[in-house]
Amino acid sequence: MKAPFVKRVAPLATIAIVFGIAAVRRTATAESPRLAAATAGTGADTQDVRVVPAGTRLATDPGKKGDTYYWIEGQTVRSTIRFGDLVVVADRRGDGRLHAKATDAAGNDRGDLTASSAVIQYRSPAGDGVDAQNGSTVQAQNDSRERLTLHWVAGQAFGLAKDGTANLVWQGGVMRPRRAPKRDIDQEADEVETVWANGLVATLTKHDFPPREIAPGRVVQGRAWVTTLTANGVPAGHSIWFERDQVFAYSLPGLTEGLVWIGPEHLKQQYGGWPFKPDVSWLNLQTIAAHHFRTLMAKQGFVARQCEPRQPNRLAQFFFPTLSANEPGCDGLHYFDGTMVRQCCDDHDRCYAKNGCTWQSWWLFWKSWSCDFCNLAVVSCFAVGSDMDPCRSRSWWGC
Amino acid sequence: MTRLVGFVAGFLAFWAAHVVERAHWTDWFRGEFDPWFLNSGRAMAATFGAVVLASAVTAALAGASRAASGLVVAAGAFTAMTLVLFLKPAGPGTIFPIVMVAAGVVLLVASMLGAWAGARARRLIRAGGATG
Repeated sequence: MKAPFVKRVAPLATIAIVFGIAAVRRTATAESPRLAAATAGTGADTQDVRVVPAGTRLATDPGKKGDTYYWIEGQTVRSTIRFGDLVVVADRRGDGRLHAKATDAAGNDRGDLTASSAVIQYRSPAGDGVDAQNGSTVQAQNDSRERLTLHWVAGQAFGLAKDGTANLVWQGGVMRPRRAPKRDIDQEADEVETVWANGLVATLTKHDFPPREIAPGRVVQGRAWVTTLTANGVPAGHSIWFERDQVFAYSLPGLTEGLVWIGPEHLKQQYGGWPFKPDVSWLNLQTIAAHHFRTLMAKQGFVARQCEPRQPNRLAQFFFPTLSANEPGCDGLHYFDGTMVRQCCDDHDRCYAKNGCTWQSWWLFWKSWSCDFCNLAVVSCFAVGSDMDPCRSRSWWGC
Repeated sequence: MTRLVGFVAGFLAFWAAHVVERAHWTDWFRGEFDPWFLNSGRAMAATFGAVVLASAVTAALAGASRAASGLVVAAGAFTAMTLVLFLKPAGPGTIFPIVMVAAGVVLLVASMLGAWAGARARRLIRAGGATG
């Protein structure tokens, strides 16, 4: 009984063993070149992983804008730059491409640029495009090696609108005619408006200031870029960059204590001075970022809250007008911010801000009725919930 | 004299409540803006309670009429409230007349409630003393 069973099973086992050995050898033979290449590090599509020991500080290039900058920039809804007689409006398309349109002071079309990471298309209204196939449209590979930002597309659209599209070359990440002079967008821009998420709008203008002491023994003067930040139409802070003195300062009432300033002396030890050249968009985005992150910290309590905002110091008062509406929501009645009266307070703040009113001008009808109408509107709103914000009637009050 | 005591009691009650709120604004009262009793529900309740207590004690001890006692305490608390409102670092704010009206209503209700409770307590004590 036992012998027939062994006789039947033994051949089957032998066949199975032979097939098994053959399959294993075949797999090993197929994988060995790849394994060998990977082990030797000679494969075309492989690269050694550079492991950083825990606790090691990574050396990043301080002269390059970091991920946080591009995260903030990526939430910019629209950027409007005024260059003398040209206005360039840059915005984001739904498919991720960026778009910039240039117009002159009269609103006439002066060019249109659309950019993706691969392709740049520029349509010139005058029909001076060099692309033989498309006539007035230039289509080019995006070889700028710059990350796409609204500032970049606005500057590119401005350059092409001013200099034309003949014999284009890449220089410093910007496409321009071979014989055209190199343009400095930051110097040529007169005003930059950055519309960001959460109702934040930063507007940069340029001014000249006489010598002033920003801190004991530290005098600043000359040409400065001044950014005014508003949150839902209400003034929310200011920042300033002195071109000659390389001093940056900002004030966010309610979020910072007075004026915060940074000069090259603060950065000398670590970077030898400013590690990058600030540009006009950076100043707006820096102001927005400071407001955004400080608001988050104040709300989430990750750092000590600033519950008693101090008045801006002398310098801030010199540079910036006194704030008309110092807190979003209902000043002195914040417990009711979550109720229907919140809208009344926000409308009142907006009305005050636009008419230059303060708490000291609550009843100055002998000077102007503007503030009094703001007050009548908010009282009415509190009393009966009616909506009579005078700033919505532009023809009446010119708000 | 009774009126002066009530006024001072109302003034001190509001002031003391504000001092406590300032000291523990972020932890006890969970305040987000500047320390001010109408900026936080807990602070509002604390101030309300302090004024009720001051008014009740004044009414129970002084023996004035409920209305007179309550109004005097409310006047004292309102005076303190106005001082605090205009002297706080953030300033009175852009809608300060509305804030003053709202605060006045809260303080008036608190002081009248305290005066009523104090008068009731005084009557009960007297009735207890007479029967005893």
